[in-house]
Amino acid sequence: MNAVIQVENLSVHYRHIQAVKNISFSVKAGEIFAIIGPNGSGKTSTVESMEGLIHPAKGQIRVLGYDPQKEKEAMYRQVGVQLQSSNWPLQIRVKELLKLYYNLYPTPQDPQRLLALLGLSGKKKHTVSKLSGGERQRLSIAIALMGNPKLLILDEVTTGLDPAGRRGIWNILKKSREQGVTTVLVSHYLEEVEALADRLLFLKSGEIAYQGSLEGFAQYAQHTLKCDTHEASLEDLYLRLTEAGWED
Amino acid sequence: MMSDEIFTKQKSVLKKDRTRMNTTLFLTEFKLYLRSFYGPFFALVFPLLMLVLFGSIYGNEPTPFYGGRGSMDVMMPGNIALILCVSAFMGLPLTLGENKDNRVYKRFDATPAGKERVILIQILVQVAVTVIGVFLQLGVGWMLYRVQISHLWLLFIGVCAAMYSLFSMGYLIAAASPNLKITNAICYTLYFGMMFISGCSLPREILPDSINRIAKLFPLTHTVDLLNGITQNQSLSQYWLSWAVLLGGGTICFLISLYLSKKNAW
Repeated sequence: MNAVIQVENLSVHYRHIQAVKNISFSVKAGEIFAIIGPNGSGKTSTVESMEGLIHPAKGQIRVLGYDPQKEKEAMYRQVGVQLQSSNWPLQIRVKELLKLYYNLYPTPQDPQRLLALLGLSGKKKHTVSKLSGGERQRLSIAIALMGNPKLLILDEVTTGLDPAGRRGIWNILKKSREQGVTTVLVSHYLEEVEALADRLLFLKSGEIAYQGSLEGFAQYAQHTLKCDTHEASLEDLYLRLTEAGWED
Repeated sequence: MMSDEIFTKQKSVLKKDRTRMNTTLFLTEFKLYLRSFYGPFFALVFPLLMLVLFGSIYGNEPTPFYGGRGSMDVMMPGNIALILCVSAFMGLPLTLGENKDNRVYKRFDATPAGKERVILIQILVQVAVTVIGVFLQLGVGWMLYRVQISHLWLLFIGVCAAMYSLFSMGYLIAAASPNLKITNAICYTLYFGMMFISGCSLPREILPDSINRIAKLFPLTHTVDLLNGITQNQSLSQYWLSWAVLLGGGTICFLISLYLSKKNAW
């Protein structure tokens, strides 16, 4: 399969802090690729570099063949993004926001269908300020899907959602994969990664600790922790690995 | 030949998409602007209330005191300057500052529109509101008090130069301020300070010399001087300094604000 995202030797600095240290990886077409790691491990910096929202100190990135820094407009015609921290104008109504986003893309989806899909049909006339945290999160997913994207980049997509809402999003992502959409998923919920991801990237202190399949992650953990990890879930392995990191 | 045709077709589709994008963004931003009470009130309604209030007190009978012009003829440049000041120091920087603080631009930066386009459209909305406000002022002034404005085209060019200067300063305030509270504090201080010393609400002749010297440092003073010069049919040599200050100062503010908005993440 072709690489949809190619990241080579990426480094990101914030003044004196090196958030990402010379990492390289690729994301294949049609897969759900998860990025996991403890807080401050460089997940959002990596993703925002791929989105062209921050300028990396070093490295090359190609997203669907585009340079995210120089060809942003062309790239975003095919990429849907859900950001970890950002907002919309608070006085805009849900239907106005969807109409606005509808007109930003060359081949948009039907806004009514998206609202129904995300359970927001009854909130059309509400302003963004009147939506709950979970509703805003669902709205941000509707907007990420608006442009019929080939690639979805989702940063903590189910944060703030109740279990039913989370499962609903999982189903949407699974259906998108069936339709050939590639997804990069940054998540702290390991059960979510376990349920959705084809491959994962485990970042620790800005470096790649592991990249590969979920099955391979168990072997990596066994090797790193030097103990039997056969019965352990992904979350158990992750917790033990990150605890080991703190002890270091 | 075939690939040329495809390329031309793609280009025309792209142009159409961009036009659709720009139109929707403009209309949405305009709607959001109208939805806020203070912006439209102070830019469109308040200057008209001032016009009607002063017009009903003083009328617009020509007097020798004003060189054969009426009170409202003389006050019109100040009223126009006030509209420009509202958009430049209350409308634009507060809109930019609020969106910057709420990280709205980041959200638009992750779309084909990009944050630069959204900022440009927000500036255009303020320009449109200002132009509407100026035309309303001139129109109502003429209808109620037969306010006479000579050199309408030159006045329009003067308004554009003043908008460039004042809006650039407003943009600079939004770009340089670390947060919305500071943007608010600077904007309110400048707005009310300039309003009283620039000659747009009180005649500068009644102010002490020291205040007049300070007033000369602010672009609103030069806006009032420029618009007065144009409407009073003065020769260019009498108000060339105002052109220079507005265009030069505007360019400096614009370049610094561009640098700051690129340096700091919006």
